[in-house]
Amino acid sequence: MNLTSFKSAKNYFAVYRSFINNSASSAMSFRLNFFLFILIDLSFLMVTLGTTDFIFNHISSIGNWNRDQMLFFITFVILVDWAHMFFLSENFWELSILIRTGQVDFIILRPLSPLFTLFFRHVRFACIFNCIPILSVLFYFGSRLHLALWQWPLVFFLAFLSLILMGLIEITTAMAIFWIQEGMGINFLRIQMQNISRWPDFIYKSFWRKIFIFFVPLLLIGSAPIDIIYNKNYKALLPMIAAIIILSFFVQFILARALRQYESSSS
Amino acid sequence: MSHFSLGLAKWSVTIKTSWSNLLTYRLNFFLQVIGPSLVFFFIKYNLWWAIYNSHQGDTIKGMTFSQMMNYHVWALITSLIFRGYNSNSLAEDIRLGKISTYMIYPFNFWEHQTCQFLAFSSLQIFVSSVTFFILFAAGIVIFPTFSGVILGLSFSLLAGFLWFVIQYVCGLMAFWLEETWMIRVMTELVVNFLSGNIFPLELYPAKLTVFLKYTPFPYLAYYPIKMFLGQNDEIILPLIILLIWIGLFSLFASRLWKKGVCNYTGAGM
Repeated sequence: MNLTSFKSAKNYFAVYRSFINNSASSAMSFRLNFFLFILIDLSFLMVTLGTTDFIFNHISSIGNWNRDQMLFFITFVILVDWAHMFFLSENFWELSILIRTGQVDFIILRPLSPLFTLFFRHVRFACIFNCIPILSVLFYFGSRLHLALWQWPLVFFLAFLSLILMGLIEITTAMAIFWIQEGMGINFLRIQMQNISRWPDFIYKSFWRKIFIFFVPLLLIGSAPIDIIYNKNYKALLPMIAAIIILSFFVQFILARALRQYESSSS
Repeated sequence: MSHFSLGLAKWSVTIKTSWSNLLTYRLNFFLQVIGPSLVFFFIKYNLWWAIYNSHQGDTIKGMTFSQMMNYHVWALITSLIFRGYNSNSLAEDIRLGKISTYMIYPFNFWEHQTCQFLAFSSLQIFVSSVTFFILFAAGIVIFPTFSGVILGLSFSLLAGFLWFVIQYVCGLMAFWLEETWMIRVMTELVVNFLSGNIFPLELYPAKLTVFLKYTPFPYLAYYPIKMFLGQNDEIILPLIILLIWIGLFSLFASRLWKKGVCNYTGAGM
């Protein structure tokens, strides 16, 4: 890394720290939101785990997985969802407003990558404490599966990769808002994509599995990391990293196209 | 023009306006209303397919895969008929001070919202009919009996009204809260789980099923589905309970509105 890129990274880090500080102070103005976010995440956790648990009251396995394996998988995906909710989610909802009100003009003018300001500006600080119950459940099911101590750093590293992959897929999808202006539909589409990624790849029929691995790599978000954790199949890391690299270039390409056809409504 | 016909004209014009509002952004309408139900069905279809494939034996709690799918097709149809999202715009209207106009209009906020609901429901009956005929042509669903259609449709419309009132209550929370989408999402999560939309109530523990019968949840999926399927052991009691819940939520909404208006600051006035 040369001196210029080091300075640039330092600069981005400082800006991101201010973004976090701003989001934190804004969140502190609506303290009830902290409570509501805890409630919503707890209900989500309970409903998702409860659904699977109820199903397992009538069967002994889904595919080759037993109850604990399935519940660990689901909690892992929920952890990635939480990180996505914390770091990225709010920016997708704001994007349409930025485009329609012409505020993207100011973002383009800043000496920062538009991608960075568009998708990392807001942090949903109100859900910061929600990782505690999710992590507790993850550790509980991890211990039931006898995960070794050395596997836990791997779990979190893979969760980090899953977050990047999920973020890239969603950023690519959200770019459509530049063309259709209204963001609600696209955001609903994003949520549906998240729903598809919340189940292991083997539940989908072969055709759809191929679509959601090679075309829109939603199933790599949860299934690839779990394959590595359960089966020590480190080869599963390759498609994940390949998808991240390809999508990173694709996002840059789409962003350039989106900004080229963006018509400022403020000027 | 008599008072009644004048009232009817107002309702009819508002319903027509709501139709054009809903259909202006067709892609959004599809992604917001139809898309989620279709994706939900797609996941359930694949999940149950995987479950039945790995299960030793043809049935789970007495249901074969095709019976389970038939149940879920009707879950899709009923959710298409009535699962609206009116609280979204309602909360925005309150937060941005748009409801001030309804205070001087000769057509109140509740009437306006109900017209929006009726417009949405009528549109959704068409969408769900098309969906049904596509699935019927594909051989995934069995055609119901005439009484099944009448009972199922009646229960679905009443359930739609209950869902509308629940959403209305969620939206009215905007008088006190900055964001109401969290309450809406939480309500949807709990309703999906306890209504029988994810799986039939037969799969729940027996004690929970008995308890749920007296809550509003199963009337938002399980009972309308069972009516369509013609598997209705009783009609009168579920109907009475459903009507009681509609009444209770309507009463609560009316109280909430009265209290909320006292809090209303009329932002932007």
